[in-house]
Amino acid sequence: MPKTNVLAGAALLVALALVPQFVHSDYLLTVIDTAGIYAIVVMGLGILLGFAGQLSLAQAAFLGIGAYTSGWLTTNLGWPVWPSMAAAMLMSALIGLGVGYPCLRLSGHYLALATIGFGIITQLVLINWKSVTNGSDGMTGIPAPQIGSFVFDSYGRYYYIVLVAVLACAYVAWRIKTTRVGRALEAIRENEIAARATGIDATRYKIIAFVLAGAYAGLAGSLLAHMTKFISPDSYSFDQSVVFLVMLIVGGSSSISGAILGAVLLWFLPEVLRPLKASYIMVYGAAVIAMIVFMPRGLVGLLESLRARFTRRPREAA
Amino acid sequence: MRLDRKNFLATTGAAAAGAAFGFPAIVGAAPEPIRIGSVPCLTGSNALLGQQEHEGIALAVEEINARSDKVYGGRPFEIVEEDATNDNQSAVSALNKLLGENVVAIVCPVLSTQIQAMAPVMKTHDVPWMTGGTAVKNTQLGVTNLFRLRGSDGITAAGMTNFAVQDKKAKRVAILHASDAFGTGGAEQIVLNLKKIGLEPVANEQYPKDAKDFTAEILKIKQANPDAVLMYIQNPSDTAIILKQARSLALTAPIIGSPSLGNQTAMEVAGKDAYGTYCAVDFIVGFNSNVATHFLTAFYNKYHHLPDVGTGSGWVYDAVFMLADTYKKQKSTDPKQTIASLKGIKNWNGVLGAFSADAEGNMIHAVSIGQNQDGKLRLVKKVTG
Amino acid sequence: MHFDPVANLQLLVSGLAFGSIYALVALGFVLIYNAVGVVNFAQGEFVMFPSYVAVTFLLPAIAVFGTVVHWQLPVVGVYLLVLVLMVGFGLLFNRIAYHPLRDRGWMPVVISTIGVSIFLRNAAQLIWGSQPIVMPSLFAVDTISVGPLHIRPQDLLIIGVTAVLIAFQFFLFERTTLGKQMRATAQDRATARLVGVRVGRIVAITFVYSALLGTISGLLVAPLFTVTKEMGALIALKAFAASIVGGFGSIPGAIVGGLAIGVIETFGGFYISSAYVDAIAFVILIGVLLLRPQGLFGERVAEKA
Repeated sequence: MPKTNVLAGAALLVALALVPQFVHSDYLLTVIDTAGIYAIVVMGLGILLGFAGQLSLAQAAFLGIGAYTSGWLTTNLGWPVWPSMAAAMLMSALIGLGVGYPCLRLSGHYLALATIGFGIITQLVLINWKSVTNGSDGMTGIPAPQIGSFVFDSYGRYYYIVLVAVLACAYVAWRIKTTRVGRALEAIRENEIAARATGIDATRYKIIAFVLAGAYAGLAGSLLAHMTKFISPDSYSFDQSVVFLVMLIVGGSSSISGAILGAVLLWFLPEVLRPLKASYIMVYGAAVIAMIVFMPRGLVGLLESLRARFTRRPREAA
Repeated sequence: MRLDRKNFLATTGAAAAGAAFGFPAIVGAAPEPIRIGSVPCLTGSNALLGQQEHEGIALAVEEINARSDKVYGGRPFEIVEEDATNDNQSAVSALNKLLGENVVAIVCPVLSTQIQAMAPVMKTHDVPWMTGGTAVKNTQLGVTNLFRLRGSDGITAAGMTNFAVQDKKAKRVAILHASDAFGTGGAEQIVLNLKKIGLEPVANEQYPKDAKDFTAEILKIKQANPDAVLMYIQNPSDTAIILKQARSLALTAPIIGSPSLGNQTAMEVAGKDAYGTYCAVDFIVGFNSNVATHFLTAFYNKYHHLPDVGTGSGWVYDAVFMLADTYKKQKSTDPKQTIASLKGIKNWNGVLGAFSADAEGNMIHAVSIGQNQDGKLRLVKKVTG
Repeated sequence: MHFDPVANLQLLVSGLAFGSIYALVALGFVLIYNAVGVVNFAQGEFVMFPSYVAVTFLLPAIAVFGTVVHWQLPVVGVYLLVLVLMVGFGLLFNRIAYHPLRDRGWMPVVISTIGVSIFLRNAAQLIWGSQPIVMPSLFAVDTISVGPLHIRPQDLLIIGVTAVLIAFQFFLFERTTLGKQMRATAQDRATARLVGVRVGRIVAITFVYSALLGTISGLLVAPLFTVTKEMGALIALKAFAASIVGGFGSIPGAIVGGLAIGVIETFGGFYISSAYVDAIAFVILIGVLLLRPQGLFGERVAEKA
């Protein structure tokens, strides 16, 4: 029933907005803020991979591009933070276009490998282009955003920026999914040749997906940069892109809530498993295998099948 | 003698009475442990360093807690440890977790990128922060509670360069460095120091992360015909491989390296191929110091392997003892007071030598040049930065 | 930079040695891909894990799960033992990572192999610790000096063994029934099944063979540096790139691609820039993908359904 959904949604929003009032631990807030930012990256990947079926393993590179664009503009040119974030998104989107266009003819493993290559090259550029990025030493002194005299320099305050960004990105993704664009992407994912045959301009839509994935990751990168105030190239590695992929798959690749759930869960999981110390990563790896074998549609898929099973019962009883 | 026996009985009786009266008081008020946070990188590609830090801290705490007085007034140290992992985000999370757990000081990390990532957080938490990262910038971030317990890259690089030019009479200096923050920072310092004496490096090669083969870099250096090769590398594994390959490609110029060339693991793995090489180290085996000798013996007895003193176990051991001494003197663990005391430290003797704090929080101002002589590191020269 | 024949010869030998390792690993990729249509992201760990197992039995003392053990065995025995163990490993891998997912398309399998990769890398750290371990060299000397040339005997061994394996590969596929069955399975599984090929068994054998190739690569390359949990990762990525450059799906392509990447990388690191060495392989890869996606020897560009 729509009314229950709206009420539930509103209640959820209120609860989300009140989080910093109840959570005072800087530790928890850092984890939550980072999880939210990663959720944006994974949502972007969800549009490209989940909706359009294009396996890109370069999200970490776009994260880096966004972070460094925004970082450089604020520390070198003294730009205020908000326009820098916009510029970061734009830059990542443009580079997403630049990557997506030549990759149009590629699919499956070829595409994956091309994006891996792009990612590795990007990280090498970040390390070696010292005049711009300051190389391996990283960029320090990145400012926090502010509105007037209100500076977002605590994790609690930053939470609100992240929350707004996550909601906005989720909304955009949802609009895409439920409109013509989303259906076109889905058709391309299922069978690109057939999609073209029915008149879908696969080229155009694939490029849109690439650009969006890049823009989302770029935004996330700049959000991270202004929260942690320090960035270094080692955060933007191929391994990190793999982490984002795993988050999407575990959450449920064709669903927006899956993307968010996967990001939050897999960012919280290592924190929860801290007591296990070194063995936790093994558990993590084993969990990934188990999930993909037993829960192919991710957690969201699992929840949906559970819900289907429970909503079936009343009818059967009647 | 009668008097002694009487005294003995009297003393024992008094002690027993005292214990009987005092016992409830002792049981009632167990001395409150002093919680120190430590954040080594126990997993990830620098796990080796993290492991060494963990061991050094554990040894120091064990020794202090074995004293009758413990730190002071019977209060023991309690270490709260979180894994910084490899990832800057996780490192900051780990730090935040520790700060929420009632610790009065933070020890670690040694990775300069992690230090710089954590700096914004530590700026707003006034607890003493004992770090081991050597990037010159670490003490220039405006974090007034940061203390650096090792010589910075500025000092190390200056020591290496001066040794090459003055002692080895080198005019053609080649540089090989890792592409990470440590390597590039160190190389920059070397170039700066060469410039000061009017020299330029004849080759300046860097190798990428995860590189396994260094043939290209070594051959390029050979081609430049250097009379000294300065290496700035942090990873002991890379160091060992480079030394082996340098030997097998017949690079004969004297090699002077960053502290990793004196690293126990690197020396063992490189074996014969490291004989005769020089390195700038925080510390040299056999150097004249009671603290150092004691540390080495105790470490070996506990862990059955030699410590990696400079980068890993030594400086954290010193950090814990330094905190212990400060708390004992103050009879309190008040962070602000501790920070002020630490800032005033002069000639405190630790494993790594004499510590004196300067305005920026640097505590070690000297470096030693050692040579690998048949697998053992021997002191050759001490350089004051 | 003046042309120095000695340096160039040394670069060539070194480049061919690394290229051989890439070729062997790439061969492993291609065999699995041809048989089951999936890229194995754990191929690097097929190189790393057996190296660790080998050193456990080659060294007089080594720490396993934190305690020091003395399980040293004669060299030949160890190498054979490791090969046998990896046969079991290949079978296990097939059972766990591939078989349950075989009907679900390529992506779940890719992700499953990624999971195996993560698991193995960290299992290695848990079992053997983070200390890099030296694998004893088979040779008494580190260098063979031929005039001004200094060549590592290990490099020669790598090139030699690879040549033998390539010859074996050729023999297997062209002249034996098993090889023909493997080729048939790779080309068209349904038809192969129709003509009586036991596809499931062939797939398992392919995984085993691939694991063995990885193992041999690891045993060959480990004495050159040290055994660490990350040793397989970058090798595998570059081998993957090499196989595409050679023409994905093509066996000679994998070999030629691997050798080419190894040589170009080494020369590129010397003549162009050592900082961007890792980029070289991927720049070439991207170039090939954009300009000639079928690579040097490949026949098809379209993805296997």
